[in-house]
Amino acid sequence: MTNEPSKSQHIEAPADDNRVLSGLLEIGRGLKTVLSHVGREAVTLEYPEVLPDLSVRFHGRLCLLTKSDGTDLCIGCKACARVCPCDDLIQIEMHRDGDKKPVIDQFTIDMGRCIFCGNCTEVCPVDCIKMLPDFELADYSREALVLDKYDLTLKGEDADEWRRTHGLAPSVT
Amino acid sequence: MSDASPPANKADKTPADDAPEPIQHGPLGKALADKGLTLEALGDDAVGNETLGVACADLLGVAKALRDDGFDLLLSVSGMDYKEYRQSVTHLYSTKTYQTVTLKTDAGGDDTVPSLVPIWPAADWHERESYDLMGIHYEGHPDLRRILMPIDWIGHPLRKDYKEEDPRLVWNRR
Amino acid sequence: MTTASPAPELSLRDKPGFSDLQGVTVEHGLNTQDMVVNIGPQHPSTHGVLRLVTTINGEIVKDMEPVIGYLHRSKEKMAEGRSYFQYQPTIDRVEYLSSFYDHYVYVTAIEALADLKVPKRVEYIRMICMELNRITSHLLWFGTFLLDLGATSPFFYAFREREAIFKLFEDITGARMMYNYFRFGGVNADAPPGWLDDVRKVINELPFRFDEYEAIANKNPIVMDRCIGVGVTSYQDLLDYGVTGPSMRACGVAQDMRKTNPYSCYNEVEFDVPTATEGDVYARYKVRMAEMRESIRIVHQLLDNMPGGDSAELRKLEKEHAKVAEEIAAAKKRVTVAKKNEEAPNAADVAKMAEKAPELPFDYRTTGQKVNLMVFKPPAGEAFSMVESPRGMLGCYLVSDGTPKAYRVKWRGASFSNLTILPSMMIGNLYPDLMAIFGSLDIILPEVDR
Ligand code: SF4
Ligand code: SF4
Repeated sequence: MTNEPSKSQHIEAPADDNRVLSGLLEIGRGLKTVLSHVGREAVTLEYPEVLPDLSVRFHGRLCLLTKSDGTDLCIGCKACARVCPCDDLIQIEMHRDGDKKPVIDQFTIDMGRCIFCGNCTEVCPVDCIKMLPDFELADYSREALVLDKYDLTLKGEDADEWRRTHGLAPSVT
Repeated sequence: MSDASPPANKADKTPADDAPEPIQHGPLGKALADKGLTLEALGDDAVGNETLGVACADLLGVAKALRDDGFDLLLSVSGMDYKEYRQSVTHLYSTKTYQTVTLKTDAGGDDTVPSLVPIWPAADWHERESYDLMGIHYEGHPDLRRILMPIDWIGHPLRKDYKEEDPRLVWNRR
Repeated sequence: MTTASPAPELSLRDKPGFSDLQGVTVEHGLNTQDMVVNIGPQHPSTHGVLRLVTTINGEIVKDMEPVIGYLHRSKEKMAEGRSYFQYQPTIDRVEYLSSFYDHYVYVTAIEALADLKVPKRVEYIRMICMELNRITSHLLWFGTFLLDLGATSPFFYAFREREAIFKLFEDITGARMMYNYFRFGGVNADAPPGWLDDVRKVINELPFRFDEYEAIANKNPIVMDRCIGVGVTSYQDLLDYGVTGPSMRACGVAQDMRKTNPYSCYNEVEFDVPTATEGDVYARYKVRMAEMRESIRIVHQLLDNMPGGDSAELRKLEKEHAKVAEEIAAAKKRVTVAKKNEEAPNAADVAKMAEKAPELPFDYRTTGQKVNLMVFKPPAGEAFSMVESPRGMLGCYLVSDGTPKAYRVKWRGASFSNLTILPSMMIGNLYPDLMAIFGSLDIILPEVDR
């Protein structure tokens, strides 16, 4: 591979004799640029009133999708808990009923310690644990940030809507 | 991490026969060996950087020869813990030939390795870090102190057998 | 006064302690006394948590010792207790301003170990992400550097453009700063439809913005007075301290891993390595500004030559392939279970049809080989991979013993080495130049402390 040094555009220093004049000129040029920004549209948002336009892939609050009829989709495989970089962040308790069907007794996620990496959403074999474009999670206590199954679950139609917007097959039975 | 032996180099592995042939020196190792320096060929790593095993006594000689060959940039010094012994791994880069070379030096029972600061002053902080986290002593280092951990820390945290023993660290317990 | 001390003298260490430094000296007929000033650990201009124990005499810095470790989060120890995939999100926090690079070294080290082939489309997406990341990193540097020098408005402008690029990152990775996007042998997900056009829109705009920045800052008398001839280093100094990146290129040496050891697909794109010869703060400024323009040039070429083009077309192609595959499967089924009053298709014809079934070219995919992230274990061995990050050479030394957890991960952060030169650049210099010199090195403390 050739390694030819190429010069960056060379920026001349103004001649020393008229430094005052050139300095004033340059400051004027800078000010002109700054002033040209005055008329431009603001890029900031007035946050609580105007919410940002977040992408569909946004890493926000976690949720559990359900089947189209509103029953649990999660099969309790604990894959999500195993790839999570934080210890014991996702805690799952499950048992199997008479037909060997998994029943999730408890599913808690400590959103206070979650780093929103998205590892859990990637390994879930049934596309159950997913992320919502929701970042407003502040609360008054750490305990309130531990979300249980009820808080996390996204019921039937909402889950279908989520799947539709994310390019998955909407109805799951 | 059940076996205590160091992870075998990728190039070492010849799946067909049990007794692998001795690894031949790469071009760099050969050039150094021709100069009368003793070093052990360890093959290439997965990326293709030549790896040389050097004993403590020969390290400074090899390092000097390498620097004269154009390896003028010391990239990093990493301490390795293989449970029975510790190892100092030095990565060097040549701004002339754009090669990277790895030097591996096993520390003896007293965890001592000659310091490379006289040859590459850049080794200063890297060796301090290796001492701090792995407990390898660099002989001839001008100022071997802790660098990342607080000066009153107990133990060397990157060792495999490290346990947090400091009774002051109650806040860290869950 | 403006040159750094030539030999890398370990000045503080030659002296027994600070108390010995407190002699009274007479300079220019003035009685001055050594004084120890403690800068940091919390200081707005250190962009992190860095403490500088500085001895000054009048305005002249006599001695300086950086104290680091306040941000040490044991990233290397964390790797030993986590599986490869589990460890990956935490890499983002090593160097949060350009974390695509950290992911890239980690992922390439593993790919080299496990011999995973990477499709070209993946490499192109990675390169676009990395080059855009270089721009955001340099933009932040530009803003804060001028803020350190006393100019406030460039900071806002730089952040505005940075935000536009962050929006692109959010669209493709889902996060603005902590991406966790590269995977072993691929990327997490393909670029969303229309993303390439969005990128093009943003980078078409950027050169005009850079023109504006340069109009504000390039010849500004204050910037020039504080930068030109300040913090001059020689090439040998930089080598001795292991300083790499723009600081090295500002000394006239085109040492850039993208050119010298082309990784990824950098040998397929055309670009120059900007260099300057003066070796002072202003030269570093020039190099970084020129580098951003080169990055834009690279991204333009990547967008034009993206294998597979926009992902909307690719999805269409995939759908067509899926339809053909379905037809073949149906035909195969009919061969085995032919209905009573229906003629079974010839088995040989079906086999021929299956052979001719179109397949997505390997280069168009977004994952090379499927790896099971849960139980992924590369074979035993070691790899030291490097990239040219915005701050210099970034390396990752990864040792695997064949278990799902890494035996050892060592980070070679560019900032760690770059910080070592600061004392030698400062000693003998004016104290007010500290922030200009320190700012020009572009150090990020989380990478120093890891
Ligand atoms: S997003 Fe990451 S940190 Fe949060 S629960 Fe999932 S895996 Fe754990
Ligand atoms: S990975 Fe999915 S299916 Fe398995 S336990 Fe987690 S949420 Fe349930």
